[in-house]
Amino acid sequence: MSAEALNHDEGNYLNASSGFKSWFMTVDHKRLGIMYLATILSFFLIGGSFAMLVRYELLDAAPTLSASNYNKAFTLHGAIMVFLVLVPAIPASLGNFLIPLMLGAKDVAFPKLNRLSFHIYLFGAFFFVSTLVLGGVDTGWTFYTPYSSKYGTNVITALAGAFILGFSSILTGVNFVVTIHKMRAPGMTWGKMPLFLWAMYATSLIQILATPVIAVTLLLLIVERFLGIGIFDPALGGDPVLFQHFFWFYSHPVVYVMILPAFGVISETITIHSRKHIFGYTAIAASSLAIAAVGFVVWGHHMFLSGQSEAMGAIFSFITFGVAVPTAIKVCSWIATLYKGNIRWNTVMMYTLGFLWIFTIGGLTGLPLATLSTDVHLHDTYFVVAHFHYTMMGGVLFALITGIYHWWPKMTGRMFSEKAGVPISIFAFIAYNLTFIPQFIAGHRGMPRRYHEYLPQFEEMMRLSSIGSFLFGLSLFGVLFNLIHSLVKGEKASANPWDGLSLEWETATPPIEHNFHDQPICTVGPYEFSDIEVKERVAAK
Amino acid sequence: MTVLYWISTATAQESAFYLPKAASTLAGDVDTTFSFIYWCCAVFFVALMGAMFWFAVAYKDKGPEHKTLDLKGHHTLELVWSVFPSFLLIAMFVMGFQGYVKSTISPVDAVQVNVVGKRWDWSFNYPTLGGFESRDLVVPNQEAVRLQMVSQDVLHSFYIPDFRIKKDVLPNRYTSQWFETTDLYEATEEELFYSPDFNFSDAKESPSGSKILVTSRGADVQKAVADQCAKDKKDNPGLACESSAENVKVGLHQIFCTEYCGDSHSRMLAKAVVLEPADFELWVKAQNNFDAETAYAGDVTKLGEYYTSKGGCAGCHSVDGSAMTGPTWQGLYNKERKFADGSTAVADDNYIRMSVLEPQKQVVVGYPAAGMPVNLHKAFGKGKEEAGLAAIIEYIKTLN
Repeated sequence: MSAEALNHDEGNYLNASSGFKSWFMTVDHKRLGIMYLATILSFFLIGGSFAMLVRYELLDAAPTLSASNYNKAFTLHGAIMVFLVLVPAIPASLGNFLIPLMLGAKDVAFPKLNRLSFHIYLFGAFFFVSTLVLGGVDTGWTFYTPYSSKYGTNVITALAGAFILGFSSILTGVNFVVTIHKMRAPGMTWGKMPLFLWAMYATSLIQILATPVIAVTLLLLIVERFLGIGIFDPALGGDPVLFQHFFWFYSHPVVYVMILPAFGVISETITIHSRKHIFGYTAIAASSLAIAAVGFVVWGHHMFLSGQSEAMGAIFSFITFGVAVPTAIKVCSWIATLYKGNIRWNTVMMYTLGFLWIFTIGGLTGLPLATLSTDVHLHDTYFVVAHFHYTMMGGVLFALITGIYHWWPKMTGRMFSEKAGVPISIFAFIAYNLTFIPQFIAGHRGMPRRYHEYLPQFEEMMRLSSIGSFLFGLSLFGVLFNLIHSLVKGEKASANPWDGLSLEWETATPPIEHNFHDQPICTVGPYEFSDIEVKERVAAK
Repeated sequence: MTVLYWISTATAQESAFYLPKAASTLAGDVDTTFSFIYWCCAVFFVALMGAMFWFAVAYKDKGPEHKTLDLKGHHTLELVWSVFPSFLLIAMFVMGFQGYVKSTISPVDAVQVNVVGKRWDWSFNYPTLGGFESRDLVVPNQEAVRLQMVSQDVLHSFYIPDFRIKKDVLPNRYTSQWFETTDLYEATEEELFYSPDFNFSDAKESPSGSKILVTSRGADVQKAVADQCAKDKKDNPGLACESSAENVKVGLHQIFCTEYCGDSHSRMLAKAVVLEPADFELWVKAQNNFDAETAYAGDVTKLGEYYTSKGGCAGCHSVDGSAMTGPTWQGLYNKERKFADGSTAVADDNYIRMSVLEPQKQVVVGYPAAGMPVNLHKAFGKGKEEAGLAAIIEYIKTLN
């Protein structure tokens, strides 16, 4: 039976059953992926609204909001975006939806555990929402002690939320590692796995190894705040720098939890939409693992000025440059993939190219921050703010949008409008750069971050940045509108609209409840686009 | 690489667009390193993005039948782009390391200044020059200065962009940082009188029209130097110094707090004031001889204002009605106050006195119950508490 026929004759995962319970209590990885996506995007809207509030305040050197409201706004923006949005963004949504499909499996290894992860995520999110309702928190998303143990507002609910979310992250990681190890389709050797799976594998390892550390750290901070037992607060005999070591031991690897899945998405879209085999499969797969490994031993580069010893600073600086090499390999390989391809100028490719531009800037601006003497000047200025937005936010968000567009037909069975998608992508790209390039300039001119009011010499750059951010926010509503519009008015998608070779394109669109009628067999690598026989085989379907 | 290094040394001098002025001996190294990295990045960025756009245009979709190149990798090329950047990265590390080592090892003969950070103010103490305290970091030009820093409460970070120095200030141990200025960079009249600074109470509009508080701290230092000069000239008429304030040369550099420390984090500012060594000596002499009561004799309001700035009150209390951590003083005197426990009282002399001595006793509705430090002896000097309190009350009366 051909996939085309399945498409119309049978039910799919979306209409197989209905009602609130059929979704909320489902163990279907596809439904969980969709629910994660919807929840994450809702929190993105909340976190984004706080970002708009922050940029509104910074339009002018003189304050509009009160200092404490501004401090809460940037704290909630950071905390919601990191813990509720960026960490689960791609793994929990696209990862959940795609991993079993790409592997040719019926579901993840532990479907009930997967549902539990989602419910824990909601429970953790509930704590964040209660922090909001109770009046917010103003410590910054980094919760640095002793400020967070002495002052600060609703620190405990926020910490408890982050603590609980950590378990969701660990369980998802365990689930994905086992699934990738044990459930690959016959014929799918490690070397024939799509690179998205390699990226998800590396990500899951980090989640399993790093998240327990932040859980313990946050728990210790709760204990200190609640019971007055001195761990980090020097007034109680603790050490505030210890907190920073603990915190960054998790929070540095976690930026790779955010960005590695983004790398995975880009490896898929850049090959399919340029009809080329990926350039340097092994190097890209290995560099994901290398980044994951090296990422664990660079945390001290957040602390060059913290009072840690100068020798430690030098060692951390040197190792940090080690991350630059695998990252450079990836970017070079993606660009080489485009060489002599047959490149589609469609929405997905526009966001892919946008990602490459943004991530290259993000990566390169990491160099003066890894360098000891220049970091002294740039640390805790807007240069850092712009740098991590280019990597964490720009990189992840552009890759997430790339991925959503690319797999939208598979997820929903509808095609979106390219006519609207392409111009919106260009608008978003320009607005994004308008937002953050002025922040680099303000930063190396010396403007500190987390300032509620600032000196007039920075007003020009701050104003440009604010205008850029409002336009960028607008462009994201454009993306949302395009996607929602496709659900109502979009054409029906075929099983394989992009002529992909990985297994998720072999099933119906949208997939049936158990993904595949028969166990698919992996006979050919996912990137053999230049192979004539493969091409004919795809055409025959 | 040599070419890049050469370009970076040349452009580091012309970096005004990118970097603030380079006013310390450490700045040259940092700026050269920054420019080196900047140009390396620029070359790579243009090369990578150039290739990307070129491929995207040159190999634009030629229809589904078009055969693409079957290219799975190229070992030599992959080796080149793994190894070649590594050399540049190592060069960056080495340059950064050298600059960092220089910035951490202070010369032995440096003037020591003890820096205390507290929410939301800096204070500078000169232990080897008489132990007096200053609200700004006044330093001699082209002489090494070593800062020994500690915090009274949470983490702070001490940052002077023009000197390219920054260091966290911790509550449980000392951290230190040194610098030496290269040039005075004489402040313009505008910088002297309109140098924005949120701490002080002289509210003026900045030239651009934005409503921020500005101060004349640079001018205060000039005045102290000139007054001391005039005094010394009485005994020694041949002395070579400027006895008129506007002729005293000063350089002004912004000090920021760069570790988030709560509500008024962005107001935790001070100035680094650079003086010629001879003027610095006069200033030190003036500080050691300074007695607020004599200096402001006959003007008790000014004395009160001096104490409120010395005591750091302005970090939390505005005098223009704007909301800060503590209640504003504008229109405070004789106004009815509502407290957290529901009671009320009129803000008379006694109320103000008690609010300074026991701030936690009557907390105005909507303001934090804890936090205001009581450090009278520090602001007034031992034995002058009552006279000091009276002066503050007189000052607050003038704000109605």
